[in-house]
Amino acid sequence: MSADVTLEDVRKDARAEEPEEQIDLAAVDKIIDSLTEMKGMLIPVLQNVQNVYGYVPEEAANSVADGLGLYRSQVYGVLTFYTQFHLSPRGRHIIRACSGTACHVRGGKTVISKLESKLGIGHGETTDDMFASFEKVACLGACGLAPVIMIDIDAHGQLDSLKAERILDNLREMDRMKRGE
Amino acid sequence: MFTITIDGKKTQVTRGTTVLNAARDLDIDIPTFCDHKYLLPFGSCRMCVVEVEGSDRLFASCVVPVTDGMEVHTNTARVKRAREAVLELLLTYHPLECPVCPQSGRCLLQDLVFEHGRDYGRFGHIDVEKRIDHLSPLIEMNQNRCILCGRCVRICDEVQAEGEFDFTGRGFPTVVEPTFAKPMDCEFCGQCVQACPVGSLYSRIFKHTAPTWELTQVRTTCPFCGVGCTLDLEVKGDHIYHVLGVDDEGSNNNGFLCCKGRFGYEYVHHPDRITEPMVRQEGELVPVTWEEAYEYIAQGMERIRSEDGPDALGGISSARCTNEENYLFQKFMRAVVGTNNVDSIARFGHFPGMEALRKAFGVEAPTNSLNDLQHSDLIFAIDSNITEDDHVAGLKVLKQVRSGNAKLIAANTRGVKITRFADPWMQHNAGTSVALLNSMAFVILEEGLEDKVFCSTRVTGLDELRESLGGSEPEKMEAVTGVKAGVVREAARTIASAENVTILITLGGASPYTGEDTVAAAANLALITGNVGKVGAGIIPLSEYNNIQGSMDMGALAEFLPGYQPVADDGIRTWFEAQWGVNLPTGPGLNAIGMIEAAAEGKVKGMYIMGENPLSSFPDQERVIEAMKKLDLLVVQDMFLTETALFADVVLPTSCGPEKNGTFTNTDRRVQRIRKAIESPGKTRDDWKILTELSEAMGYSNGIGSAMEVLDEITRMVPFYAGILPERLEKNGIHWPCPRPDHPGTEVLHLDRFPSGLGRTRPVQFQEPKKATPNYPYLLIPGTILYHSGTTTTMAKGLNAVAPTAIAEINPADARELELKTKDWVRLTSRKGITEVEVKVTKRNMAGTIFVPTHFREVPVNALIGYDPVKERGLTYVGIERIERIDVQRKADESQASKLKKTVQEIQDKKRRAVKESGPEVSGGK
Repeated sequence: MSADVTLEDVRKDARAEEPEEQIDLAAVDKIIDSLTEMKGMLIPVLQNVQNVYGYVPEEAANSVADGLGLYRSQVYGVLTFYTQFHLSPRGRHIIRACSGTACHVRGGKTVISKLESKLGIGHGETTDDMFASFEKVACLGACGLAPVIMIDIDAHGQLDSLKAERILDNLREMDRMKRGE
Repeated sequence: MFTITIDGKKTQVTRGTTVLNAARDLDIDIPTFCDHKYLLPFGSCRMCVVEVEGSDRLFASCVVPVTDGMEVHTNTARVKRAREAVLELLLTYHPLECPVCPQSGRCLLQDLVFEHGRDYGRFGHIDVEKRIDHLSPLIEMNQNRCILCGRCVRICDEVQAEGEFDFTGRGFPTVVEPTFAKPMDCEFCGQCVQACPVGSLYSRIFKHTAPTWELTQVRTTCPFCGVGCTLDLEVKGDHIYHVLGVDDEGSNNNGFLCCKGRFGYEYVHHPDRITEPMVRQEGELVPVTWEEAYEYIAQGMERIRSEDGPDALGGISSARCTNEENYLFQKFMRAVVGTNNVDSIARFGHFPGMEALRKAFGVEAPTNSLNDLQHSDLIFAIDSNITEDDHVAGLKVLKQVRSGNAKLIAANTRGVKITRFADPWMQHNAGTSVALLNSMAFVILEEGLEDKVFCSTRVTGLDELRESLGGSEPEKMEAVTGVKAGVVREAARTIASAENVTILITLGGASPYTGEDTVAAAANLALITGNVGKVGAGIIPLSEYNNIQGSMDMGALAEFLPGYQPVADDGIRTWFEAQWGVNLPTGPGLNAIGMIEAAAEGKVKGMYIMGENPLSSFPDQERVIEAMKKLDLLVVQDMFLTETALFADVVLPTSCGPEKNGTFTNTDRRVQRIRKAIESPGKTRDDWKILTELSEAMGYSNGIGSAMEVLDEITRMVPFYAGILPERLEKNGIHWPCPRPDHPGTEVLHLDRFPSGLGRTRPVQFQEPKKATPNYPYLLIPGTILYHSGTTTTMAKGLNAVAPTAIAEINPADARELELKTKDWVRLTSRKGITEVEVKVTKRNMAGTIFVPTHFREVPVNALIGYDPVKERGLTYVGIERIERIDVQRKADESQASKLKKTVQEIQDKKRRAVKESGPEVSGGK
């Protein structure tokens, strides 16, 4: 009988409470206003929200649900269904490594483990300094260049662990320069 | 009609019936996980596949409508193979951990795996660690066992309109999860728990306590609110382990329950239950035998009666006790003690409202049953927080409105769940519902929208009403009610043009701003629009008390003998005298307000209080304390040592709902059985038994041997209960009036005529709620919250985990002005007293008002409220003078609750001193 756990901190008063604002939700309201003439606009609204914040923050998702008159759980269900939506902040650079068959047989695995150990993160994670997010993807559609990774919108092919390391170092150097450090 | 043959059996079904339901009609069992009687077809589990002649593929019978001449086979080898494959796939991730699963023994999957004789199949079993929600109070969710049938997701949406969880993720890792994987934080109705076919959602209180196959089900009626849900208590020995909602012909609730009904039973086993009769000796309550207690009471009452006459004694009955106990209680006061000083909490709000209905229609009861809501095409809810006060009735409203069968108009000061579905929601200023209703009546009469035929044939008093409404134009009332005139006009037109309008009003402590006047104004509206005396149209006042209607029916009222038969009527009294074999007092006695006043003035010297706690439930706590202190003899009969019991000279321990037999009359006049499921603890006795034995100790034998024998007597004494024989209640409840044993009961009153011939409209003058002066800038809104019912449920551990303390609600505008934020503590000062409470800032409360829940002993809301003893309109002084922030540390010493404790201490000390001075006391009062 362990029903004596209280829920003070997550107690919600559904749709009427003033949200404890940590992020500015004005943009969300604007997006909702501009897109709610038609029904079924949840996904475009969420895409726009993600464009503003880089991810879909919890408060924004709840605010979208309230604004569109949906259950918060419904919006959460949609957000988790599509891989295009992200629920936590992402790095400045997105590194996607191919784990498809062609890349695998040509040593993709060593490239991936090099990147992971160098970045210190695994699939779907982001470095603490927000430098990069790392994802393993099924196929990048460039089997001729195997093993291949993509950094943001650039493809880098015919890699081995050494080359991968060098590319990552360059990326970090550029990132540092850009940020004026 | 379509003809369908299933497994060789032929039947006729209507268009749109699914094959699954057609099979059920034929008693052919098709297994299914995702299908549920009250949910839309979903077709996800594929367990219900059948073979249809002339088609190559298998069909999911739950989503396939019957076509004419269809021939279906439910049990072929191919069907079996398909079902086995489904089971095999489910078992790839559903662990067979039946020995530790609380659902074991009533698990659909377990049954089917047994039936098909397969363990983990060709695909083996993949052990994936999914989340177990260890944080939600009351309900635990083990996602490892989830088979993704979606019943919980859909019942939470379609029935509860809560949407607590949804399918999350995609593909194999899909789970059912609350938003952002938080612990559940919902209404905790547990509909999902009962709907879950496996052990994925279960009661946290029940888990790991008893195997399901050792539990015995006892069918009874829920003891909390006025809806009166039918439920099965699952007991083993003398312990209640689990509760299931019952869905059969006789139930009012379609198997649904709320958190109180499903999880609130823990109060029964609370260690603070009193189990021995106690008499105060030397300032302390000391355990005595029942005989000693009876002797003490009898002698004390005898002495007061001989010195000051029987009217120096008074009794407060209970809106929580059964009909039988209320009947015996008033009989005890009238026939044995010899006074009409008997009343109950109904005096504050509920009875005045019912009086308004009697004046308008002739019967002091709701006109329609709750099930009759399904025939309404418009529901008008006035100051009704139905979801929190009468939850399952609220589900009926939600269903009717969300299915598009009815529109909902709400007139609510606070934003509540139903106001989200209302169109329009008229948010009027607190206490101005009469003005609002009057202006709606004005619009209907001004625009000639009244039901002219109904008005001319069945209504009288229209001219006076018309005259009195001069000046009630919505435009003029806008300043009073705060609702835009255009909205009021539109709402009035909608009501006038609707076919069947049901008006819902919450009465009593749950809604102090509705009373006689509001109900009278609503009755006017119903009469002029012809919305009474027909199916789907009428007025249903709602109560947070399970048996407030019954306690009134049974004559726990100062001016009425059982069945609303006036005590002042000589003919009726003579008849009762002949039946009871005693002389009865003439003339109405003191009502609850009168008794408290008289006691405080020293005129009433002894009180007998059964199942009521005036110190926390009657307005003006200070005055009540004063009254209780002055009494020479106070007998309190209760389950717990309540605040009132602390002042008592004798405390008698009683059994509670699940421990006794009897009947409740719910808020729509439905008389239902409660049944004894467990033995009551210690030396506690049933109220009816105590009353019978005490009568005997005082020299009157009422010849009662069991609770159901009392019902026999009731059927003889109360004309409209005459046909409600105990044996008829075994299966179904019966709506009174039921004048003959062969009468089916009456769901809808006044169908052809009103008892007095015509319905009467009466002018109702709007009166501002008494804030007195600008010195009282805030209005107090006392009320109930979803997770509690009265103070009893605060004794239930599980419910306390969800709602442990009172949290007042205040509008952001006021909060800014007062520099308050959520979780601050405030001191509320009214003309009557002081209370301290935690606040929450929320928009659902209007500016200028503060909502405070009434359930918690530590936050005595009634200390703030006064009543007007002259006008007896119930709660009147509701102005709050000051709201100020306080330190939580400081609050402990100065709160009303601790003051009360001090008072009790003082009394005890004084009594002890008195005893010391005058030597030891002899039994028989002071």
